[in-house]
Amino acid sequence: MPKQPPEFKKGFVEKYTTLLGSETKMFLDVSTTRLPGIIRVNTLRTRVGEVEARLKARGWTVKNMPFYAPALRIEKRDMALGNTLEHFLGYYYVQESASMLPPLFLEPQKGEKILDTSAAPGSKTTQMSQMMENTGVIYANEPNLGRISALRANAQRMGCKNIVITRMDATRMKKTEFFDRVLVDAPCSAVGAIRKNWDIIQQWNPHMGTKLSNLQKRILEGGVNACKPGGTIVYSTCTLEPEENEAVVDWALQNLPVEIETFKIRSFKTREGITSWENQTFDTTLKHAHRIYPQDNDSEGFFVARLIKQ
Amino acid sequence: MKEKQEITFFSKRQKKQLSTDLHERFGITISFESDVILQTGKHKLWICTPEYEQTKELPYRVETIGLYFGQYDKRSALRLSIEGAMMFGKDATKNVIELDKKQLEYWIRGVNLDYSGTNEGYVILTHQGDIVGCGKAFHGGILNHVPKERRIKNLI
Repeated sequence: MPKQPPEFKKGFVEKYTTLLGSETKMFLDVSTTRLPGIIRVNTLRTRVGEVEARLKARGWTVKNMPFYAPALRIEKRDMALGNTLEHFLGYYYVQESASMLPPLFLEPQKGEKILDTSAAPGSKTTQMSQMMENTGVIYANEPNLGRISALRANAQRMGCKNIVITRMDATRMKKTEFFDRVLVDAPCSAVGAIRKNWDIIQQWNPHMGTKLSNLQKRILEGGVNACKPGGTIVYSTCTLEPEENEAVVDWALQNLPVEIETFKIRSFKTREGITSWENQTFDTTLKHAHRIYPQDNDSEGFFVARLIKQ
Repeated sequence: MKEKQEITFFSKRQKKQLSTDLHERFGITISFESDVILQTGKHKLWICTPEYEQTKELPYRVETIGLYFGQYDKRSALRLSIEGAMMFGKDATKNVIELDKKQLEYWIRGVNLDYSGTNEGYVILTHQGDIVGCGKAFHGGILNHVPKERRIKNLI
């Protein structure tokens, strides 16, 4: 990462001023700071207290995160989080806090059949595996062959025996109506991940959102096709662009057999989804979607909506 | 699984043989009755949950099924992966070797270890309560099987 972040483009600043008003400066300032070190303890392998004690014994400062017991914030450390014996043994996974939300919204249960349409590198997939206590089965799909090796390595290191890795174009998923729950963590413009990669500031352009939203709609449709009636679908992205978030879910509400469902997460500040953007008015239930801004929880930015298939 | 790669799902008899092999080598008592066990390519062994059986007919292109836990070598001896050693090794009663701190660092760096003990064949390696893998002991050393992408040069 370069020492100084590039300047935000004028169109970007204008867009986020429309969304955030007087908070825009805070949003832009926080977006160029480094993310805190967050890990998720792998409860398939060990206990949270055990990892906490071991890391503290190294002289690290470790804090619990109230929104999710396995999440630990490492505030003071003397080395990369990936260079420890505990990481080697799969006792934890380095995962940003907001990225832990989509599986929490999906609530996968023991013994269920789950589909993750866009799984690599596997942070949310392996989190679901541990939430399910290594039971049931998770179809972890990744269309990009180059990204499958990371997914496979992470699923292996975390000791997940309930993961089946598939290589499919998620936009072409047939109407199997098989899975109990489906996670659609769609590829996106990653505006919420600027803190991880400042290159995103330069890569952003005002047309990205609209282009990506077509792909996102098709992946979401594939996910809905694969989900059984009454099943749960979570749509999430690590961007804050309305075209890739509310507009996609609004399209789904109009064109697919889904309804949005209210869902609350404790100890993690989220904001309501927006119900209009530029010349568009969205379904009023979009307010039940969740926007996660980086300045609210010292995290990445995210968008999450929980849907029920009729 | 790679396309055209042969996959063999273990029968009850083959699962029983696997249990016997684990018991004879490591003293581990385990039954694979409800698990799905399969073998691919060069004798690689995988374990998956029973629910996989319900998904077999899905029209998806499958790359891997479950967790890689070990493989039979050319002499039909069972070598466990790191995860296989961790999954089954906690109940091992024999052919377990405790590493000291220095040996652990070498092991995770991918280096073969010096060894003056009498065990020969595959051994489960531990360090202060952690199971850290499985290596092949021979007169004078233990062969390292830590995959390259998993090795850590400067373990702290």
